Amino acid sequence: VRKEQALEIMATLARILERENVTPETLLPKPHLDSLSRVELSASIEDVFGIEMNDDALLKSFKSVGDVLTYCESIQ
Amino acid sequence: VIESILGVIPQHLDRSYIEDRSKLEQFERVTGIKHTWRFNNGSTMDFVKLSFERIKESLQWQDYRSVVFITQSPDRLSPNMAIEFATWAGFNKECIAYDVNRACDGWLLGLQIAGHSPTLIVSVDRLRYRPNPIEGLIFSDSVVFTEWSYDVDETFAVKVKNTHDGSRAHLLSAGLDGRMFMDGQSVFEFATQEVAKQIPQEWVKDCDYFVPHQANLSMIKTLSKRIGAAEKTLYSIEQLGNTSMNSIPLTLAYNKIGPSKVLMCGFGAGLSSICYFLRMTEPIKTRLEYL
Repeated sequence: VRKEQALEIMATLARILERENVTPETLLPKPHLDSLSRVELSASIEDVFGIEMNDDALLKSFKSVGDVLTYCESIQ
Repeated sequence: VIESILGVIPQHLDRSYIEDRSKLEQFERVTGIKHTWRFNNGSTMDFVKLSFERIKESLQWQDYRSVVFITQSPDRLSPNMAIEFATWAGFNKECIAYDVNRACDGWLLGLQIAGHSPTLIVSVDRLRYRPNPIEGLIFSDSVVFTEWSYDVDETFAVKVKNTHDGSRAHLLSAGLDGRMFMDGQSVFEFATQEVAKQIPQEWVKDCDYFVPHQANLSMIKTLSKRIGAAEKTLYSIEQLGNTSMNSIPLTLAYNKIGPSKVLMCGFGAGLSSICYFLRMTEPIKTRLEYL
């Protein structure tokens, strides 16, 4: 994952979590992101990486910002 | 030939009662919907009759062979809404009047049903989605009256592609009590991935404008970018919200386009979708009225 791609995803997550910034250790809400947030995150990942997000269960499984970045690395 | 599209928008919903302002900001950012419109002063038929009174002088003729009443929000199961409306409006008592239950591609289905008959298509929806106060803002109420005629001499071209898959009906549905269920992520994927593949690429290249169902801004932008029509896409989502089956005709009316080639794409509950390519040699007469 290029640095600017990671920063863009982190900026989306910061917006969703209403924080000034986030780190890989920042935890996502339990039990999972709400549906509006999942749509915003998946649209951002699709836009940044040009891929199709197919799995809502996967989006629900993310526990931290680091999980999202690890997923983004796996699709490269 | 679409002779006229006459749309009626009800009252503006004041959002000041929403306490979670940051969630509201996220809703507006993701969906693009800045306004919601509601008719809360009576039944669906009351809404249609009031709307008809406001625009009837703009109708071009009244000798319809058919009245097609498309809605997911009927006041009752029987008798149908079309007969009551056609009689009340004073139309020819021999005209065929019937209801059609169809979701966000319903208006495009109505154009197909009209076929070779002079037809008035009445499309109305009042969807109530209540997972929480904010996501419920996605749907707006509206009525659209569409006059359709058939003339063999018109240089008027239409191409249509229909698809449906009832095995996934549970992903987006409404019960008889009007309560809706929507699996947002699955519907998002259906629209941006499957529907994107169903739209013929040659139609995209040939069209001047792309008018998708105005579901929400993220969905429209992803879909239009994926099929390569981002520069041709028309919007009304910010101002009019998601008006279900009426979002396509209202977008045509809102943007007031002249003679052109238009690719329209409706999709939603079913799951179903309709791609409709239309070549207009004359501008469609449009009117948008706010109650």
